[in-house]
Amino acid sequence: MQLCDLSAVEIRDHISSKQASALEVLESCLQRIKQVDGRPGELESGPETKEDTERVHAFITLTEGAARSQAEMVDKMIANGEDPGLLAGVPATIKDVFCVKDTPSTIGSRILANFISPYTATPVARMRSAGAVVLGKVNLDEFTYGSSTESSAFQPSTRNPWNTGRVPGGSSGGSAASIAAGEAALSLGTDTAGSIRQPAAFCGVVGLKPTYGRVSRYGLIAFGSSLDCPGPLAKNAKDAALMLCVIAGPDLRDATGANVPVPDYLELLEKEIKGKRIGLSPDYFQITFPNLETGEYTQQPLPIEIQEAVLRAADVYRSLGAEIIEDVPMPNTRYGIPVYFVISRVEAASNLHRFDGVKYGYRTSSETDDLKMLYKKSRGEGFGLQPKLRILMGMYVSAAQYSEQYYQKALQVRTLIRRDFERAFDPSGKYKLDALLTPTTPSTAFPMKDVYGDSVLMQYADQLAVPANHAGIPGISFPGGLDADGLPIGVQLLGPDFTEGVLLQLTHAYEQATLDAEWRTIRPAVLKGM
Amino acid sequence: MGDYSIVAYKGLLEWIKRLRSIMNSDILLEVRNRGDLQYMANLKQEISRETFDHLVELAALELGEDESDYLLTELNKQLSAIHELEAIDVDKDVPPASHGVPYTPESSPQLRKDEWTACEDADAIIEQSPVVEDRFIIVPDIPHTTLE
Repeated sequence: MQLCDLSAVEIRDHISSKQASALEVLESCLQRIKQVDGRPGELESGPETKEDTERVHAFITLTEGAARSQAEMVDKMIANGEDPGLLAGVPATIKDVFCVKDTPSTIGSRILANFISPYTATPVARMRSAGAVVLGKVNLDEFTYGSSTESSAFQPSTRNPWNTGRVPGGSSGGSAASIAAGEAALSLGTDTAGSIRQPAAFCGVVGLKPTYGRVSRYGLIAFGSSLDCPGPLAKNAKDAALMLCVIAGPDLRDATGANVPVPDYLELLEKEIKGKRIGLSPDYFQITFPNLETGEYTQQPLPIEIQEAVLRAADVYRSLGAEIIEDVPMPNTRYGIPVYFVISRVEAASNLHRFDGVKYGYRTSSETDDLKMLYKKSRGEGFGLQPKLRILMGMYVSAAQYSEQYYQKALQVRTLIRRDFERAFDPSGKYKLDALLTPTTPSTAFPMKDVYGDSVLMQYADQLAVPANHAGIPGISFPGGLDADGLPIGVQLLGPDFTEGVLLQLTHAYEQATLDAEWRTIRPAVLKGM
Repeated sequence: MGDYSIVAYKGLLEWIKRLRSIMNSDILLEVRNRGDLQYMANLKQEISRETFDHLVELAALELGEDESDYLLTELNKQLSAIHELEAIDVDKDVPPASHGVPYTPESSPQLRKDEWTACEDADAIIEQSPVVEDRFIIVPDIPHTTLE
């Protein structure tokens, strides 16, 4: 156990009480990165070596110099008796979808590979102001379009610390892997259809998707503007609560930021579970998927190990005095993916028109006769397959002749998905739930290269996560055991708008009640012997 | 440890197997080109090559031949999945949701004062452009047509 293996709260307490310095913690993280991370993702990466397949590759850009300056500043403040802030000296990684001043902000794409941001995203700025030591930018699916991190233009892409033959999930794969491998204590990710929760589940860490508008999107390179939510990935609920205290709250630079007071999430953690109403829905214990030839849909139950992990969590809550309400109908869950195929593509296409080879980013090096050819060549060479696919799909379903059939219909079905949750959470309704307890994903981490390229199958991996994005509600994924292959299983809690405090409290209670569980003694494979 | 041991649900497993049979899991584009012709023929090609080419033009993308085949196939697969929406009976009075969370007057963000603030470092923004001369962003000829 090294300093880098401590939780964020423990690190902060160590530093504040001068048991360790911020520099010592930083050195420990850098040492860990050196031991497990391998080479960083890059555009011209050459062939994959055997060693590559055994490393984590969380990072694209390690900002060691800036991290050292920040750590020195924190140590200086402590020495002077000043308070460096809630995240004093806590090492953190940033998903490379956030702009950070004077730092490459690539979004995992050739088209922004040379982009050095002239400004810093609000959540990153808030973390730094609170004393966090930002270690650098971590890998992701190109433009966040994926669920495995494999689509990044920066290779080798991130691998799962529990088994480097498996994907870390995505799109915040580098974030989740960096926490699981002890390279950092906190990571800032984004969740548009499960991109915080799914990699958190696959890598055995906690991932919180806050309510839409809870955390500012200023400086976040946009994908689906009505769906994107920045949020924390952490080792446990307390760390996630600590980070949310810092990054949440209105921001004059985000016109969709909600003007809702930020509670002290740490204080809420210790509240009683007794009397809380937690629901289980059969609609979250199955997956519905299409046969693309016949157009028929099949429903299959989830793997038994995943179902059991959720039911075990329900038992824990029952034993703590919560009331478990079964058979909560969530009938529109299955439509989450087709609705997402439409809405997210339309928003993505709109957001990606700005990349033109003129103002910033990649410009073709070949001769171009006119501006139009410059656009076409720059975009054609700069975007990878997944952004291209989303642009084309978005343009097709929003074309004048199809908009009614697809886009308008999808927006209406989005209302139905939202109503499922409103019915379940209605304080004067039949169910009166404080939270819905579900699996995070329909499988544990799948093998590298197994699903990649199949854009439909990859999307269906998000079926249990995406309804929260459509509804805008908060969701959290936390580790609930290991499967027969020794891979982490993620358990999800979904709650009403702005009840992150309750979700964190329930997660914390589960963690405390299962501290002695045997599976908690098992560590990720890459940490063997450390 | 079996390749598929994690995907215990049988139906999805078969689906993966079918898709894998048409796709070399190592090199994506190679497979797509080789593709199982029967499968491709069975899949409804709702978006024609002609429509696809039009979309590509509108999107200002220049594609390689191998990319086009993959993208057209995936577009049609996604569209097949999207068709599930048509079967849903939605009342006309169900409003569209552009956001999940409703914004009330209390929770809506305060508007900024309409005040001018100087950019701290305008040059840092201009310098992002790939080709700059004397603080001008340089582009090739802008196409234009003369109105009759």
